[in-house]
Amino acid sequence: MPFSKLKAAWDRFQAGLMWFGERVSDLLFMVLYYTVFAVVAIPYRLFVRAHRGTTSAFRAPSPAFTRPEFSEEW
Amino acid sequence: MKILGLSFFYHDAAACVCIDGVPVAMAEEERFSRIKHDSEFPAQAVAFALQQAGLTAADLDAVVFYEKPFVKFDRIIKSALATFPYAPRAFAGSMKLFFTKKMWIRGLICTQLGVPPEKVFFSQHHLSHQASAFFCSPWQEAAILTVDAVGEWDTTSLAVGKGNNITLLKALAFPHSLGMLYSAFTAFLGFEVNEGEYKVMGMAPYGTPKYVDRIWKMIRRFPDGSFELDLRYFAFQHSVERPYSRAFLDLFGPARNPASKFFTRNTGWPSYFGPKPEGQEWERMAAEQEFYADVAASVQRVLEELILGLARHLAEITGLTRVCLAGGVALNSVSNTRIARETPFTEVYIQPAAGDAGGALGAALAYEYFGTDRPRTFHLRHALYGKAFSNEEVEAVLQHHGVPFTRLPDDAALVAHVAERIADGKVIGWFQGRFEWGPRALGSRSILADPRRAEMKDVVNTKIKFREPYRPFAPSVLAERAAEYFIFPEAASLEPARFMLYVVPVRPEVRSRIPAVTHVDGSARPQLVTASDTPRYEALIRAFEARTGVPVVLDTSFNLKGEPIVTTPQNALRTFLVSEMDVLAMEHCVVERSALTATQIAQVLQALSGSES
Repeated sequence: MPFSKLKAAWDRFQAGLMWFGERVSDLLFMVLYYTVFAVVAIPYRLFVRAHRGTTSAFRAPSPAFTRPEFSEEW
Repeated sequence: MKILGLSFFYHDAAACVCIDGVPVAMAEEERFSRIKHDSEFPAQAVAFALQQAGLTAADLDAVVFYEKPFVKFDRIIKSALATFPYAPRAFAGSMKLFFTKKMWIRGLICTQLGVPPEKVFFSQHHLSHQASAFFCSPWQEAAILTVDAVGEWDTTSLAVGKGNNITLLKALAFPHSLGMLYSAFTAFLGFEVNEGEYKVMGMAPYGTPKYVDRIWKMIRRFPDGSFELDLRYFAFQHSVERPYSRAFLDLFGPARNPASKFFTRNTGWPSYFGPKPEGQEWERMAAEQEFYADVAASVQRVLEELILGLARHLAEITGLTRVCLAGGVALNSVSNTRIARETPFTEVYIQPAAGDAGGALGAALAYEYFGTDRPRTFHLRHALYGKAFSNEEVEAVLQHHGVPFTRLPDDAALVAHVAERIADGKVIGWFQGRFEWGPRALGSRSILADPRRAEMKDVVNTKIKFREPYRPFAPSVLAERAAEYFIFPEAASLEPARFMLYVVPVRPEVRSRIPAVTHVDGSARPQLVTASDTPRYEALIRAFEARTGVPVVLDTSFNLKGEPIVTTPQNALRTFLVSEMDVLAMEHCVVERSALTATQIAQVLQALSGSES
């Protein structure tokens, strides 16, 4: 697929998400919150608790930030 | 390389243009939009910075945003999971903000500036802070400590800078945050979060740290200086209304009413508060305010102890004696001084916009230097990176509004005239050259007064700035005379004092000479002024010294309570007329309030309200 078509598809997806974000009611986000999150929250918290430090609150040093990472949004 | 650094969408949006590793122009958006702590895309700051640098967006090699938006999104989602089911409203609000704005930084920058997507880059929040301090410092090797509320995930980072590289050593992650701890108390004490932290610091000397033990109940400390907040006492992770919880209130009682008047038995009841309450009512009110002052003193003490713990650990693992500080907490001048006095670090560097605005500078410098071998020689010694206005531009504004003024022939005549007026007890609006980078007025957009007159503190607080009467004012002092007046940490350099980022004791023998800038606990937050960095301001203080023997002036930011510091001659003229300042000195043009009638003032203010930019 040519790049321009991919970009157009991405732009449409982005526009769709923005439309959703602007117009969707708080209620829908709350439905998401009380359904999906209710299922995932307890396992997530158990995972976090299992990895909690007992002698230090510092997290392990992350790999050094590298120059290519400047290109990324994550 | 020509690089534009940007920070926005949290608070204090800012833009910075660097050319070949040297900042050319930088400013916070609030200075142009006139919205305090404006967080929107800094379109006007960008336009100014590009124009000042003589560039267009097409000339830029890179545009660098100060943090990673998708990592921040990850934190929002996981925080919602961690606090389920208490955050439905905060979650919905965050999601809408992210889907509509905060996810699309690259697209927004491309649209606003017309640059291609491949020229847009992303630093990390705390890397930007680290770079803003280390790459502006005069050192090739230093430890770096950054402490703020929260970036993507990190709230605190310990790093080391060497040459053109910065290596992260350790970090604390959200929600364990010193900035959030201080903000929770800021809200409890009746001040606005992200605005009132200065007020907590100013209130603390009126109290005694009686409640330190209660605050330590909220914090779990580790031997390496790291810490965790006991989240039962806080609500910032899930509440959009207040950052402290019911358990917090059970521990400290009701929050302070933001409208209540602050005084203690020691300060007495200032006359400008109106009629003094009588008998038991006065006692009750004084005791109540003293309690909150004690809470402020306690949280300030705990903050200092936690920062000292982090700094000592950083010194231990790096073995270095120089440290660069950044992040909003690095604007806490009291803790900065304690780091210099009570840790193995003997030298400290902080750039003036240590908070999130400084992320724009750090992002640009990080991209310029990080992982390269470009020689690094820049040292940020002053804060004058904003917009300037010529005598002709100032004259045009005054003439347009029919304001009578005198144009003095040169700097010498200007400083002689203004120094005379300060010595006469007048309050001066001082508008000169490029405005300052960062939240402090450092002699470009300042209100100046005579520090020898004790009443000046109340006059400027209540008649000029209309702000809380207990808040202190800072002295600007000739650098070579500073040691006669203030007790600084013993160090080879006093870099933070260039930017009013140390609070130090005033020498007991001179406190009576400069009472208006000596705080209730005998401290002050001096700015060291040199001719090489700020020549006109230095000449003014020298002229004042020639008349009075005191090389110090009272300096506070040229704004009214709740407004950004003035940017344009129009802003300055309006602030001058609304307040009760006596003299306005804009470049070489001097306006005397006594030359204006009440009708003229009203007419000019009406005209300005329609035309001010």
